[in-house]
Amino acid sequence: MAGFADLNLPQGLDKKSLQSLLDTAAHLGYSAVALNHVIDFKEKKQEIAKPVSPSELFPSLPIVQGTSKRIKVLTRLTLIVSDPSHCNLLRSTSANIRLYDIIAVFPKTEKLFHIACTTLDVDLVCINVTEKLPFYFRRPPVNMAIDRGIYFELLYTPAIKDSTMRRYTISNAISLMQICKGKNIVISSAAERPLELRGPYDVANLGLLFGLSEGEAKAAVSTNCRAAMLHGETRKSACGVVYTVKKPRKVEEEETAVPACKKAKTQA
Amino acid sequence: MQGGGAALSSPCPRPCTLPIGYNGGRASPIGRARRPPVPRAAAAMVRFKNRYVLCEVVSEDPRCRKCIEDRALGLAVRDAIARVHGDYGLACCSISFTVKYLNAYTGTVLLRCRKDSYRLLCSALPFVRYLESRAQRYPCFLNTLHVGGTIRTCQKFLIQYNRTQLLRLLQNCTNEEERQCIQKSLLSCSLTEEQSQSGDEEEDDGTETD
Repeated sequence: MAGFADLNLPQGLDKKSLQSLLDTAAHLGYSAVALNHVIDFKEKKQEIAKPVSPSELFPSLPIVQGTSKRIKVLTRLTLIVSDPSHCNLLRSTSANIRLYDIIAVFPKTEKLFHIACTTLDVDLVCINVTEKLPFYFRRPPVNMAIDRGIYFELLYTPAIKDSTMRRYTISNAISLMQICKGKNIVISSAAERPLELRGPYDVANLGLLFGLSEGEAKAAVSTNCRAAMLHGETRKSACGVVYTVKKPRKVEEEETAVPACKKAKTQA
Repeated sequence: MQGGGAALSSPCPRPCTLPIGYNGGRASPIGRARRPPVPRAAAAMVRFKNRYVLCEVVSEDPRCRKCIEDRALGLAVRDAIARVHGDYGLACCSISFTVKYLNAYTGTVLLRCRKDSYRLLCSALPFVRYLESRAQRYPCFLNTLHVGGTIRTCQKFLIQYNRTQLLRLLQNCTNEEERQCIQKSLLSCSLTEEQSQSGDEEEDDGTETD
């Protein structure tokens, strides 16, 4: 069984609050979280920075509730695209983009939604939940996205914060469900404070409000998240079959592992 | 619950010890006298099925523990249901909705509602954002741990859960005294039927020390 995952924790926070978010997520039983780096092209020409390595940021990760493993921290890049030219960045083999574990796009127009679903090499397509949908979902791009293994992401924190946002979230979610029939949905938090996080079972219950069935709602926090993570991993490997991993540390260990007498022999 | 109580308090309408010909003073054919009580007895035997939702109150503020009490929690949950599902949802949920068990030290709460409407309750629980008592408002949220059909299954789950919590405390404790205290309470709690109640209390003592 796949563990629970929350694929959206904002990265722009300071280290202390991020640590408390991670602690709360581990306490609630999430076995994997993704730190989200958002790039909005509208503001200015932004450079895509290298992802912060989680092991540098947090020396000791908290242990997940109910297991003996430590929480897994991934990196995620979200591009807010409002113009077709922004997509060129994803097509070009930029080195920094390849370093992120998960790549998501937030399309602002119907045309961009179509492009994101059909051609772009991404893992997640974000659905706007904070305002009325600017366009209706159409079947062809959504079906295409389901075939390609791309997942649609819904956020629940705005729904918890505010009543009008809740209405938009639920209506947008239900209009998406009518097209995709509950398949390929990921529900994640985007919580900035620990108290905005909810437990995985509560999130699954929220899924019932969004028009999912019980099984689909549970899949939206567990198996679908895992599938999205694996989809991201295939980008780093050759067709998802062959991996290339650098092992600089291993060489040093082998050198030290050689007994002193043997070393002397080889040197001589 | 209530159905079961009603069945116990009102004895069977047909006393079996009476002679066969006795029909309660009424002269009616035996066939007719036998048939009507059967559905009535069946209706009285079926108990109303409930769902028990075991939740944990998570808060950053330690002062929040003080305001974990029946009334404040019930009000907060009712308020959330009213916000999310409106009057209809609140009316459906409020049939036999109560806070059955509450532990302010560990922050665990057991809520009861009818089986038909527990989905309404569960989907409203994430929208609880604060507890309010004595004109003070503490931000917190409810984390669902378990949904069970009886109090008994919830209790079993809670004992298991608190046991794992103690193990976590054991890892995090700093000085030797704490460690021994937790180890003692870990050893004393047991999952056997007779001691389950006392085990539960011991665990509560253990978490108090933290």
